[in-house]
Amino acid sequence: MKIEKGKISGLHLMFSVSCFLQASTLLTSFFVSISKRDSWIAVLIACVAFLPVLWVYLRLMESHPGKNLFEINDAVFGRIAGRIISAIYTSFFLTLTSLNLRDMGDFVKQTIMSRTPYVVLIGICMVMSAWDVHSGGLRQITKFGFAFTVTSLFIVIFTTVQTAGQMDLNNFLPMFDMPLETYAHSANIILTIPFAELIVFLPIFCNMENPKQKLRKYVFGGFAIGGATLLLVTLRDTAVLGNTMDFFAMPAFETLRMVSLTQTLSRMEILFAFILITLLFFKITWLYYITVISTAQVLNFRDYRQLVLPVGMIVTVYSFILYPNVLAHIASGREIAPLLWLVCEVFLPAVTLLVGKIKKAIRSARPSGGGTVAPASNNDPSF
Amino acid sequence: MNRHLKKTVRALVCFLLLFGLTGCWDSRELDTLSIVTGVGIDASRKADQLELTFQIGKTEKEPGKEASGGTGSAFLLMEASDPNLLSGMETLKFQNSRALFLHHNQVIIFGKDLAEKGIKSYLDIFMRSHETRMEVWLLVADGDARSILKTETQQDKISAVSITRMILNQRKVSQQTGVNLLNFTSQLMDKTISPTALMIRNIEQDGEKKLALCGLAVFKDDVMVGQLDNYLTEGFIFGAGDVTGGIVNITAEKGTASLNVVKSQCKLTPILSGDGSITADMKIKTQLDIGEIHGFQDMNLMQVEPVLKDYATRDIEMKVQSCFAETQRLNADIYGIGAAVHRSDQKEWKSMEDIWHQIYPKIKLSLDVQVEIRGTGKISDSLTMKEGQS
Amino acid sequence: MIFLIFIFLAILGIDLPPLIRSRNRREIVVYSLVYLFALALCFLYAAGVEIPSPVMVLGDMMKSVGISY
Repeated sequence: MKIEKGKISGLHLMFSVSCFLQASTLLTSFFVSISKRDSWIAVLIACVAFLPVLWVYLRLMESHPGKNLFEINDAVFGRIAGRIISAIYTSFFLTLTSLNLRDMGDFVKQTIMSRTPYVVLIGICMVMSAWDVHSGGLRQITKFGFAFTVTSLFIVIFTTVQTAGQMDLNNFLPMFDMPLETYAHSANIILTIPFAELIVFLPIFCNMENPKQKLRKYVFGGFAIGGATLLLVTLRDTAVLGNTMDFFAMPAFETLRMVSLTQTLSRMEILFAFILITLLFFKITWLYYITVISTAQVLNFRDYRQLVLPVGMIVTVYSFILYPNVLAHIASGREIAPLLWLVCEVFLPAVTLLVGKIKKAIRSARPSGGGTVAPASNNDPSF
Repeated sequence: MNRHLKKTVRALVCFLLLFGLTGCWDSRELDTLSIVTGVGIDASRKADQLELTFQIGKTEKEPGKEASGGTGSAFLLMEASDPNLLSGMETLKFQNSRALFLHHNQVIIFGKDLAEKGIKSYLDIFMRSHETRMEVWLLVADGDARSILKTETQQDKISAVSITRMILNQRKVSQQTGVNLLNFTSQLMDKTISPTALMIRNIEQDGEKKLALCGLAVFKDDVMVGQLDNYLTEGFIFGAGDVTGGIVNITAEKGTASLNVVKSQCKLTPILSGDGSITADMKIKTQLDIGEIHGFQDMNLMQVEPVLKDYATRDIEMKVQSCFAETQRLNADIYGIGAAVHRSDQKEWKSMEDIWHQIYPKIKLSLDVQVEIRGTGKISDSLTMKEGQS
Repeated sequence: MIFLIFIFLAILGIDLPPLIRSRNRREIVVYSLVYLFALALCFLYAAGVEIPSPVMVLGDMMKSVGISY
């Protein structure tokens, strides 16, 4: 039973993926405070380490064509266990949505509107997201991916050029002089927090317009754009801020503050804050949509649109109770989240893939099924 | 009916959203703000207290005063005396009808007394607050900061803007002179580099008070240990990086000249020798233009040029060596030689890092200055020289 | 608080008519469960009751077992 009946084109998917990853460039402080000036190396390591994970996701989709994540769970694990696992995914998506909502609230409150209460900021964002999800669905949400991606790329390149005068390449040296575990830790954080959150695209990978199109190239394309943006932002921040980078809670924003075109046209970081808020909004809307779909699928609802508002209220309250204060948030992001998220983002999909393969192998090995026929999914012509 | 209702509801929701999206809650009207343009921090005679001065730019013109030709000053000063900065700003709330707005702060000036005690702890609020920026210029006043901020400047109405422009002019000559908060913090965080900051003082000319930049303050960690005057500062900038301005004055037997520095580049390489000693190898390549020549009668330019070159080389060498010797005397590594060693040889650096203050005074300077005279301006031989030739 | 009541009534107003029209018993029950859960959470939070955060609880569990950086 498929919840979402809309179809999107491959390009829309690609730009949604890249937009999603670009929205995480603001949260670089999690790993920058650990790997400091070698953060860009950690980004590269994480990019490479993510490729097998991405392969697992794609292979999972390809071996069960036309099914979304929850149907796969049901097929592989059976009805009851499958529902439980889908419920775990759902709670994970819920947590992600609330976290991002909280990040957005923090960002806006600390930099721009410091006296507006959190409730108002978060409430407004949720109302807009809810409207988007309720009335539009998949097509609506992905429509603007291209515009946001291009604008965001433009801003990153523009600020890199503008701050080039303040860059000092000596800030990158000496390289590789930190203990190995810092690189591992940092790469782990980058892998789980920006990259592997792409698991939220799994429920709709099957909704592409033309199933004959190669899913792989669009997903890799989106990942390439998003990953390149993250790398460029890390390089730019390291070059400009140098050893002060790990001081700041939002290093990317500090770099943006240093941009000044002339004496008059300086202190314009508010313009960049616009695009950052827009990107975060896209991410939140997307996560919200996925959460709603997941809940609907788990609870066997026919039309997810009725659940939009109650789930929205749960997300809003959850974002308040998530962490008691900023310090707990940072500590958790650095120490616990990289390992906890791995369970949902890497472990579960890999296990699903493995069990699926084993089941098929067992089924094809049974004499009653006509043992000479190879399992259909392995020779799937469309992928 | 239903469709109309939906449309109305949507329009209403849009309208209500607008209120939140524009940030009405946080609106601050211009006339409720005191725009701070300069902050001065001095040590107070009372122990543990600070004298804080905030220079606030006025946003309204005062009618009537302009017509009389008198200069109503474009700024006013708010003063507070408090153990730390944030509580100082809070006490000002009781005397001020407007809120302090730090976004446009141009300079932070530390008084000399305070700089000699240590300024690290006072930088915390400037880094922590969301309203302050890392591009503010950091200066040390030769005296107290309050008198600097009180001085009125003629060409720019607000003296902090005037100071900023002076700093930018200096930076056009050499990027190593004016430091902003980001550079200073970055230098503070490195264990071996000694930060520097521009110094500024009040001078009296014809009974009028003016501001003048007067060299660099040298810090060890965050405590000011010494001062480089303008001569030594010139030596510093030649050895520290690129220079794109400035003058080299030379006095020879037959005449004097002033040469414009077109471009000067310096390459500093630390050479570690086997016995543990370090040589700082400085290679300076300078291109000069002839700015002004006096004397040199009976000579033409072909004869004068090698003389100028020779004297210019010696002049630059002396400046650089004096500055280096002074930094060794103060035991302050302002060139960043330690950081250069760290970058080139990490293993050696681990053993040297903690004892760098013992190693630095013993570093030998190997200086190689190459001067080229490129241009001569619109004329080549000067009037005096031409007289002698005919 | 009053604001919350308004919001929840509004949600009911938007969502209930289509549900009743569909006459699907099961869906109405499930929806009410989710709705009541959201209602309970929101009002508990507004009343100042400390709701433990699942992420923090999981984090503490992990720390006690030793799986963390």
